[in-house]
Amino acid sequence: MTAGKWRVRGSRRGLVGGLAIGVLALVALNLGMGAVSIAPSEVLAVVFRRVGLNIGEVPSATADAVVGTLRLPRALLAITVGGGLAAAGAALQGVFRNSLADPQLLGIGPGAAIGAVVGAVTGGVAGAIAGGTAAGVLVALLLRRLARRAAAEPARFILVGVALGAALTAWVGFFVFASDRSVVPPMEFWLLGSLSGATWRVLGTALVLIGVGVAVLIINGRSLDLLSLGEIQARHLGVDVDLIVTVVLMAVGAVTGATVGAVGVVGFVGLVVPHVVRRAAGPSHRFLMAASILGGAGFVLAADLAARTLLSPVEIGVGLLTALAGGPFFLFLLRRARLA
Amino acid sequence: MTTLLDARSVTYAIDRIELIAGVDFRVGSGELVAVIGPNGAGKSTLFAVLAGDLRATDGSVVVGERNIDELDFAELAEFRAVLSQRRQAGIPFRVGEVVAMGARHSVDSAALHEILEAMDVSDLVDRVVGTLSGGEHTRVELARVLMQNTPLLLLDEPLTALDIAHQELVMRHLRRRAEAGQGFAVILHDLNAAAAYADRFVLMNRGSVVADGDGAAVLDSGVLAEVYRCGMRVARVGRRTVIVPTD
Repeated sequence: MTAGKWRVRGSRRGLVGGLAIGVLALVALNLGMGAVSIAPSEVLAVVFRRVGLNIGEVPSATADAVVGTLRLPRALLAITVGGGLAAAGAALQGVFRNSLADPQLLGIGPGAAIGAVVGAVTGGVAGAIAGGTAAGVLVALLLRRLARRAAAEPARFILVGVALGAALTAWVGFFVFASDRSVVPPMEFWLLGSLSGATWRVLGTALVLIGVGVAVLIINGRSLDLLSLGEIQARHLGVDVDLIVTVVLMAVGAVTGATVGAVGVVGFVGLVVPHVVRRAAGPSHRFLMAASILGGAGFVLAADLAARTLLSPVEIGVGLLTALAGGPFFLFLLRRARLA
Repeated sequence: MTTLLDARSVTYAIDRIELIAGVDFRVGSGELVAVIGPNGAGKSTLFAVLAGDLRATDGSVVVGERNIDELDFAELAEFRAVLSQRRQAGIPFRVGEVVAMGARHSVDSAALHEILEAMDVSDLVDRVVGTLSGGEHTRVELARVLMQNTPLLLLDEPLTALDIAHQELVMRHLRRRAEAGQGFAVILHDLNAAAAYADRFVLMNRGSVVADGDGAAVLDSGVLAEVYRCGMRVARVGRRTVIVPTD
């Protein structure tokens, strides 16, 4: 890596503006495209009516049902999940000072899925989100303990996390097979992810938990910057390192867990997005996490659009598509890490 | 001169093995104290205790007017800055960003530029820290520590990997700051740099302080030869005291 590559860090305003326009464009495509195609004017009319504005033509009942009750909450859930996972990934990389860290890859996602399955048995979708959140927090704290020993070697730490993830994934299967199939979504949902269950209620529950978690992460942005100097150095600069790491990891676990409870495991968002944003706008965590929210939203919106339309009417797991894009990216990073 | 740091009978032990034992150590405002001694003498362990990284098994450390155990991380950071030997450069921050992180509150850009200039890293502000040479990284870390602008500074080997011109640049700057009132405790392996710039010398060996005083008292060929187990000659060259090993 040469210094020249970093010398020109694109203007931050330009990046945020570009990402915001991209997200809006993807929302428009997500609302209009699908098994039933709906004209842009009608899409707009439905959206306006949903927010209480009576502008434009009166939409058809079909358009209102498809856009208003299916696609709109689904697109907003994609934004919530994508934004949350990307911010969580940025924070996780900062906490462990390891750019290969990803909440799903390190086992928080699969661990949260176990909690979500258990929650789903007792409390339906809301139970799944609550259970996922709780289990995500627990696995994140477990990761903290494991990292204490392995943190000196970044690659080894990733291996530990991947091993944890593999073991927990097996347990997801165990719990799914042991549960009542009529109340618990199948294995496929948990491991490949799907936004097809999106409703306004799911969106509301996920948005509250993910919103609070992301706010906690952004508040701790400066401490994460100082932590990048090393734990001892951050402490010398006045950071209560143990407290900050615990709080940030709990927030990462909660955000990741809530997304898993709502849509299953959607991998690589937390890995790919912060990397791209960091290259464009630098590593300062507050901005990195804020811009990653937009980047993650766009990534999952695009993946979900592809999931619904590529093999229509068959729907592909959205996590499968993020993995198709993110897997090779991860290999590229691993290769570069080894060369460096 | 007000006392900034007063450590008395400090002992630090792991599993009953004492790494330092019964160490007394003071730093006053306007003072540059050089801590010298061979590898394994306990210098870094003493600094870790003084910085608040390790808790003394026995004895007391008073920082300002309060016992170090009563101060939280934020309060300590207002009063003392620390240069550690361990360096980290995992996340691609730039030099300018790293140095600015030293500012506890808002960044005073005049002070920032002055310090970048003083450590001769102005030309590196846009470089990513991971791409720096060892000596450059040392000066960047020093600049960050100076940016903290605390009454007391604990510097563990600030001359690591520096060429001779930059060694002089750094020591002169520390000297100037000491004269302006800051207090410094500096671990130095270069006895000549210590002899040229320190007011007081604390010589450690095997976890204890062997000698504490001015150059005449501590920089003695007999004392140094015994501690370093190597023949030493102390001579004057111009206005400087020069220490060279002999066969």
